Amino acid sequence: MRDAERRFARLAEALSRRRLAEVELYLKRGRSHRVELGASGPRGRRLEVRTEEEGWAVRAGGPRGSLFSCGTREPDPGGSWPAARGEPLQLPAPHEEVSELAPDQVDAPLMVESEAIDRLQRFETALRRELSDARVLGAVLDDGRSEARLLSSRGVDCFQRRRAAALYIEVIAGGTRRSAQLAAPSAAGFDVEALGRQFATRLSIGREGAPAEGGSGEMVLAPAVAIRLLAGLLPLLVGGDGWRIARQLKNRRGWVGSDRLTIVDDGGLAGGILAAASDGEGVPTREVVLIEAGEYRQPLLSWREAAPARGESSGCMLRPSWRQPPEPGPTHLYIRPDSRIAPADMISSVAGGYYWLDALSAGRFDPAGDRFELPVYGFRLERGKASRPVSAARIRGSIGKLLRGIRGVGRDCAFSPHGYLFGAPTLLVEGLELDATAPPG
Amino acid sequence: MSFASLETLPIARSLAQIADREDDVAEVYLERVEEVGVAEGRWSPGTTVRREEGFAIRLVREGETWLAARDGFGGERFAAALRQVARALPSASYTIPSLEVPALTEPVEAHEVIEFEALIRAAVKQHLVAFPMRIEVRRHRRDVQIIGTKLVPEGERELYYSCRVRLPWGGYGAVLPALDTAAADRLAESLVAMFRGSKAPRVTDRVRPVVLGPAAAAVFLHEAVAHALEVDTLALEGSPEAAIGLKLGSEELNVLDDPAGAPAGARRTTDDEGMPVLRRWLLFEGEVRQPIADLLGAGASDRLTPGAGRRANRFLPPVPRSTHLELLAGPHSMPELLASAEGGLFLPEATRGALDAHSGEFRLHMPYGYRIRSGRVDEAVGPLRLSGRVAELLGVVTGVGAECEPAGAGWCAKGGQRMPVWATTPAMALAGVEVGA
Repeated sequence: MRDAERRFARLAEALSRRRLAEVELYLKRGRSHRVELGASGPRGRRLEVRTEEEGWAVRAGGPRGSLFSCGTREPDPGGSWPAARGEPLQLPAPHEEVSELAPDQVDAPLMVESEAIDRLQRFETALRRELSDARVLGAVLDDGRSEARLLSSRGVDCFQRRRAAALYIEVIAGGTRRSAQLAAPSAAGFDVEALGRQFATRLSIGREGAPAEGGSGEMVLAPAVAIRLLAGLLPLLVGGDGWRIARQLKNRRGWVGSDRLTIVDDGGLAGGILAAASDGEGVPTREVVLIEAGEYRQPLLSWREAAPARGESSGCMLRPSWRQPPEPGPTHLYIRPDSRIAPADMISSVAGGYYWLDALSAGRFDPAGDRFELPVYGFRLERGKASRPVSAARIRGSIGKLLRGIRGVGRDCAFSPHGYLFGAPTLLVEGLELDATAPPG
Repeated sequence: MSFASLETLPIARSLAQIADREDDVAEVYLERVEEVGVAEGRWSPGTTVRREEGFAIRLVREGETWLAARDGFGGERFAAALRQVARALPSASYTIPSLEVPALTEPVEAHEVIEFEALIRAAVKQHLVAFPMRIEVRRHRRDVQIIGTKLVPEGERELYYSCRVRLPWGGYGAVLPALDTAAADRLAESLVAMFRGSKAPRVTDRVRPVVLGPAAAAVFLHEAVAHALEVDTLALEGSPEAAIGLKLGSEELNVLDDPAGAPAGARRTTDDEGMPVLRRWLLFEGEVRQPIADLLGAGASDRLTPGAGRRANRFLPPVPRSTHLELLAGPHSMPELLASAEGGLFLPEATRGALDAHSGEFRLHMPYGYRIRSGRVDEAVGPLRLSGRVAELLGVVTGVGAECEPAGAGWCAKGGQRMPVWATTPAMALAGVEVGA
């Protein structure tokens, strides 16, 4: 990051001589430490990877076209640049109100190998304490941090620091497999013992449960299931096409969801794992309400899309690496929890129905066609209590009916990465169909 | 070649410091990647260039692996990475190598990439159809050098192209050895067939006979044979050696993996661990001969041979993967194959496939197909999927075609490592396969 201003000035001058007036320089460096435990091989497998990355990216253009160039060596202003072509490039103006957020643990050291292995082994111990024949097929713990600087010919000058950890777990017992991908601000943020117990429950359901009967009724969706639903709604919630899809999903009164449903994206979410003051183009992040008490407000729009798409923009151009140009997307997309409602109260309110604990896959979602189906597993609920485990079922139906059928929203919001970071609390839903032909577990 | 001037001896000596046990494997993997592309679309810059380089040091000891990867080169970076993988302080000190590699000074030029987009559009127009499409074309170049404690093979260069077309009804991707009119014509034929297939009626779910065209057969074999016989997949359920000698399918199934037989730009003589590649018999007359192995997977076995270690980039460890699959020609003409699948489907292409390593279940997605009636290819059908278990599907192969062709090249992304894969195959017939819309 040293001499970034001087480097940018030289670059901008050289590129302006090529009639590229819009110039942006992005510098990023980061380090990560990943530990993997696997089951392949007679002795098992352990892998430790330490990486240090440092790269740059330049976007430049004018009315006649644009280019994107990136690399690891110092960019050479007088060197070879590709010819600009295609879409013109327009960069955003600077925003004075951007003040950098300082994530709490950004300066704390990355986990060391022994710490990572200890965490993964504690997970396995907790799992096997509950279910002795369970074993870990794969476990990956990744802890990393990065810093980035963005300068542009429009005067944007941003600096970002990030810290995040990811955990992937895959376990098996008696032919039943379960996996999960989790994120936290740092490796220390994962409660591995609790996870071990949760996985034991999930495996037990697969082994001891029976397929569901068909029908419909009230259903409680745990955050992991609600997150899958939210991920399937992405075309409705992000980008200009959202308006068209929302029109198709609205009922006669104009509602896409029940009055309990509010969906928000917030790039600067307080305590959010990916919280930042500005996006990958230096535009300030903010909270954008996409669906408010069941009413469709607008899709998530970048500043370029906002005017033609009739909505308010936010900083939502994502830049996961210096290797790709920024693209619009959500940062913390979540269903707003209701602090008054405990998930246990929702479960106990169900006279006859189901409590779906997790999804077996990403399912199929067609927001434009107003259809979805999602394979799930969990418990049968009778008189507010779990009466028996259900190893596999398929919930399906109209997306509009699903959203309007939300009768309760819990206070327990959990986040999970599925391409983007999605968050959801426990939901109480009615009107969903339950397919008796269960998917393979 | 990017690494021709590199002094390898001091690097090998430094590695020897950390590989101080007899069975240790230590190596430095250096890579330089250039990707030049053109794209269309609202968020895509017209031209893109990525030029990156770096290295990774790996130590393998008793089944455990330590890897340290860096962007860029240089002695200090090398020394720091070496310290991170070392398990103990070295007993002697050597001079740290400079690890300096001259900068890439070639100008960024890729006329063929720019021109290919126009070639595709012109070729589609020849079919007298028009539909919206966004085309991305890329040239991929990768220079690789492996330096081990004992072996320093010649550096290798890969040069190939990829094309991705976004259509209103889905995407289509291809990996290509060259960009020319013939490649554009084949791609246009596929796009037009997809367009027609998108409007064709869907099939009902049931078990049917099918004939896979060479491109679809390549994807089928990639999932059902190559992935199934990778030692990391086999190790999930027991000893990889136990697979040797198993009868998996018809005697007409002779399947090899031969990286040296890949198209010119993708041909390799050594793998990404510096081991010589080999013409590996995966199935000989339907029986498993040599699973696909890397150094870690082969271990001390005298029945498993390394030489198939591949890595998507320096940040990831090598994994056993196929590079260029070959299904040897069988005795059947295409009319014979079609006649054997009367009432079934002819499926020329597969857009993607996936294998569940634990259950052996896999799925192939076909963007379109055709009904077989009276021994001939008849009307088009819409997108469909083909599913089953590896062992069952290989067991119902009833015929292998007599004419082989390079086909079905694409990206494989197993385990998050994205690599190009190539194939040379004939068509093949299967007696009864679960086909669903």
